[in-house]
Order: sequence, then structure tokens, then C-alpha cells
Amino acid sequence: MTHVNAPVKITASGIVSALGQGKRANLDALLGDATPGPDRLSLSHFEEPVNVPYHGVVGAPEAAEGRLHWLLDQAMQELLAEHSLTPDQRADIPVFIGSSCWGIGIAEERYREQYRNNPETAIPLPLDGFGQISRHLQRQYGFHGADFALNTACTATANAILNAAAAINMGMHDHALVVGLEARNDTTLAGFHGMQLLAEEGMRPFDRRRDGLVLGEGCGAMLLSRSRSDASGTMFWGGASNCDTYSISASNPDGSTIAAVMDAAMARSGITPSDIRAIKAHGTATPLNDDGEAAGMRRSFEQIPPFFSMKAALGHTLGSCGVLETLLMAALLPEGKLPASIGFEEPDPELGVTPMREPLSVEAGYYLLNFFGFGGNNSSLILRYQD
Amino acid sequence: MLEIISVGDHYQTVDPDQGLANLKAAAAEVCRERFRRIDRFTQLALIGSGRCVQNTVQSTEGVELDSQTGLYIGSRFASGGNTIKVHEQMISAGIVPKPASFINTLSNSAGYFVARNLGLEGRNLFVSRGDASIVAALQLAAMDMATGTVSQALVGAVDEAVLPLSHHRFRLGLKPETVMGEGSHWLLVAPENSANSLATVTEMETLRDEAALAGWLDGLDASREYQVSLSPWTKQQMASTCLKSREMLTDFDPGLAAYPGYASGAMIRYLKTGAERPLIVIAADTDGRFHVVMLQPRPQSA
Repeated sequence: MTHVNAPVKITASGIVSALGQGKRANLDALLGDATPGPDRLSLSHFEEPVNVPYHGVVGAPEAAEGRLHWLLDQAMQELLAEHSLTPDQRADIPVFIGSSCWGIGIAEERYREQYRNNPETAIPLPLDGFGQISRHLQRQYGFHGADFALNTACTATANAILNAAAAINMGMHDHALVVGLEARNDTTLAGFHGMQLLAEEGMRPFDRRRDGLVLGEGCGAMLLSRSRSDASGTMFWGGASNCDTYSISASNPDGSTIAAVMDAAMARSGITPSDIRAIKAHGTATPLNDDGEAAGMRRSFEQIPPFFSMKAALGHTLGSCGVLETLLMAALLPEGKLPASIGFEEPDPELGVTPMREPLSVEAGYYLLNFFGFGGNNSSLILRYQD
Repeated sequence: MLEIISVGDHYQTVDPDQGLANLKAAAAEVCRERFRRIDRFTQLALIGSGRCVQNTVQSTEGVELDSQTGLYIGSRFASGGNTIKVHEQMISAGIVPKPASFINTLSNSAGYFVARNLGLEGRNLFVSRGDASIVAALQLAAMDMATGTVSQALVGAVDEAVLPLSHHRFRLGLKPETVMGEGSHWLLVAPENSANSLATVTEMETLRDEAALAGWLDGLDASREYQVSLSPWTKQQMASTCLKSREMLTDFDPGLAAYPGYASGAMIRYLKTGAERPLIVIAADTDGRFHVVMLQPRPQSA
């Protein structure tokens, strides 16, 4: 097999999540003995009681615009402290952004305020939400290059990483910035509540008693850079994405399209299933997702590598989970340890797979990361780690 | 560079007295199955993409689209009409979004239905960049083609009008009384030098400000003549003095009303004129940048 594209290095990154501000706090929480469970959030604007579990970020401002900017600032400041980039570099490099919320919380807040003042003149959706993150990156940090506001549900930033690497591979840029951001908003929380997809007592990915997901918020930023393929550390090695038209809200439960995207990611990376040391599963703890992902792993791997899900700790951060979970995985590998699959206790004989019950010692090699989303969007990414 | 192999679209000017035209019949004409609970944004996407593929099949004497063709949808607001209804119900009546309405607020729902309708199984992306969303979609397609991720790409700009038009003009930053339209404009693109090309996309640039735009224009061959199409917001809000001072540039008016997908509609209408000069499409954004696409039509045999 041939590695299709040149690998790129994860030069710098920054994160804020429900686990804390900065990579160190997030890694300590993931590798610690106990990760905090979700809080409860009461949405007061609905005629029926809407009380949902939520992995919110502590210390974030309440107002929607301030919250969006604050989350973005936390991640960007950590990234730029690691690799500042010159003003000319910032002005030129492409920016790939993934999110599910964009500016929807700001739009809700402004419309609600207008409606309270005068329902007759209030304008719903009074702003272009997709531009909010890019605008702050331009004004606050000077990133004026081509921006891509990708929205493919929960694969948005996995796709952003794929295209950022492609932009570098085209030879036009040495760096690309990838940002994923999810901020609390009523539309998303009430929407998932209405779909009855939320777990009442925390997420249990791949557990027999799994009954849904818990949403979370956060922001992650990664700077990808052109690199030699023999460089040490964690590299983004390749990946693939596909579209499953079985159902708009779930992958084919037979695992065929999930297997296809994992197979394509490995093939494009020039590796085989036996090269994979461990899998970071999408693992949303919804019955349909975990069924499809387990079936896909059974199809693609003769011997399924150790696998785990991070979402019981972080919450499902939707469009931003691609960058949040990838940068955490990239940071975990040099720590020498991957965490046990949080939230898992009881195997499900129907799934035929069991996630990691104990932390796993890291070895040099390749690691697979899965991300799947509404709209049939599936993505698999490959990281390579070597000392 | 990309070659445009085929085009197809749907466009209409919105008559404020008549409201929005019903799209059911047009959607039914291009759909292999009857999709239920789809919104106007998805209907528009299905119609435009379906027509583009029908034109492709005709021009290639029956060759179907490869299932690994990449799908790239650009839009400023995606399913704005549905999202607005959800917000009106949430905020005025405290109603939790219904599952189908909530799913349709996801920007990539339309991409799911287009892929299902056309039998596509490969890369499927939604991207937004204001009135330059088609530029972003073409840039993504070019990246994926350059790295061999896709061999060809179906690239569309889909933007629906939402009533009342006064609100919609406010959202788009357009002057009161601006005539409004909506459209779904699609291009099937392939790598440089592919056969059956209607035109070559020779440039796709994001320029930081008007000085950068002027610098880019300075780099053009001044001995040639170019036609230029500016998005409605660009025309209304930007001075764009650097365009007026260059004699090699003449205005191309595609005869379209205002909507974010105007740039892509202008490209398709230009190709239909049979003109041979390059077309430069420019969309400014609200942050002072300019996004540019240049097309070089290929001479077509009679």
C-alpha cells in the first residue's frame, strides 16, 4: 500500500473543555482516577420543563457572543503561546473551522431580546452565524486568509483536518489552522432533547445499559504544518470520509459504510489493519451509533485493536469533537498512556466488542480515530506516533 | 485549476406580491424517490444538482455520475427558512423543536438528500463563507482533487429567500427595496485538462483588502479584456475604485436579482452567452476581504 499524501505535523494546539482550560488540565482529568460527571441545565424559555445533563465549561461568560469569543480565546491563546506565527503568516494561512452551533446562540439571544421589546419588529436569525468565528480570528488574531466554515454535523472538524492537510499537501501553504468550537445554545439542547437522544445519567459508550449521549461544549485549535515523514512525535498521517445514505440520523447498522471509511483511511495512509495500535472510537453511547461502529470494527479488523471513547468525560461536543478529540489523542500519546473507556462497565453481548477497561500503554505506531455524524457523514483519521 | 464539465441550476426572482414559488413539482422531476419532510433549502439543492446531472448525462450520452464524485454545497445561511421557523416557535411560543425540523437545521441535511438522490457515497461537505460560499466550495473541491481524494466534484451554491423580504434584506445587509432572488447553481468540475470542458477555473483567491485586490488585478495580462461580475452586496456597499480605473475590465450583468448565490449564477449565465473572454467574479465580505474566481471559457465546437 502507498501513503497517498505527505503527513503533516501537529505543531501547536490549544483546548478548553468541560475538563478544564489547557491540554494539561484535560490530560490530567482524562488520565485521573475519576472524571467529573455532567451538570444539569434547566432551559427556562420552554413551555415544557427542559432539564438536561450537560458538560459545560466552568468560568465561561453567560452571554452568547462573549461565551463564543471566550472559548475561542482560551484555545487560541494556548496554541499561539506554543507557536506564535508572524503577522504575515497569520494573514496568509488558510483557516478551517468546524462547528455545529456557529453563531446560533447569539442569534437566539438577539432575537429573544428584540421579541421581548417589540414582537412586531423582531427579526429572527438577525445575523450570519457562520461568519462569527472567522471574524473573531481575523479581528483578534489577524487570520485573514481563506476561511472555510465547515458544517457536516459531528464530523465537521474531522473534515476540517482532512482539508487542512490537503491544503498543505497542495504545496501552497506551510501551515493551516483548524478550529472547532461548540458553545451552549438552546436550539441544540432542545433539539436533542426533542429527539430523545439524551442520557439521563451520563454516557456509557459500548455498555449494555447505554441510553444516549450528553452534550458538551468547548473549543480546540490545531496548527498543522508541513513536515518530514520521519519526524518524531505525533503526526496526522491521513484519513478519509464518506457518505452513508442509509438514514439521515444513523449509519447503516451493518457497519458496512463505517468499515469502508476506516478501510479507506488506512489504505490512503499506506497501512493495514494490523498496524493499528488502538482506536479512539466515536462512541456516542446511542444504541444505533455504537451498534454501527462495533459492526464496522468487526468488519475491518480480524483482531479488533484496543479501543476507547472520550465522550463520557468531554460530553459530545458535536462539530468540534473532531479537533478536540484528535488534539487530545495527539497529546496523550507522548504521555505514554491512553485512558480506559470512560463510562463503560458492563459488556453488551449484542455488540460483540468490549472497549478498554484499563489504561493502555502507548507504543510507537498508528492510531485510528473515528467520527460519525447526522447526514450520513463518516470520517476516520490516522495519527502516527514515534519517539 | 479545475475544468467545468457541466452546469445546471434553478433560479427565480421573488415576487413580493406572489410570495415564494412552490418547488414540489420541480423537485419531483429530478428525484428518484419521494422525500418526505424536506425543507425548501433541500428542495432547491435537489433541483439544481439534479438538473446539472441530467445535463451531464445528456452531454456524455448516458454516462452516470461516479458514486465517488465529491459533493460540495456552499451557502450563506443554509436552511435559513427552517431555522427561522424553529426560532420563531422556540422564542415566541416556547416550543421544543420537532425532530424533523431540528434535523433540517443541520446544514448538511441537504447534502444527505442530494447524495441519496444521485447515488453518491464519497466526500460530502457543506461550507459557508457569506456571498463567497461558492468560492470556498470550489477551493475545497480543488484541494480534494489535487490530493486524489475525489476524481470529480459536484459543486453547488444554494441560497433560499425567506419572507418577509424586508427581514431577509436586513440579514444580507442589502438596501431596502432591493429586488431579491433565490437560486441553486451547480457545476460539475474535474481536474485540469479533462475532456468536455466548458470552461477552466483559472483562479480562486481570497484577498485581504482592496489594496490586495488591486495588486491581484495588476497581475492580469493588461493586453486582454475581461468581464467582471460583482455580487449585489459588493456593488451596494463597496467603493471598489480599483475596478473602475481599469479599462480592460467591463461589467457583466447576468440579469439576476440579489441573493448570496449570485456569483455562481453569474458564472453559469456567462457560460451560456458563449463569450470567450475570461470572467472575473468578485464577492466582498463584511470583513473587508474580496473573494475572486476567474473563468476562462473554452471555445465550443458548433
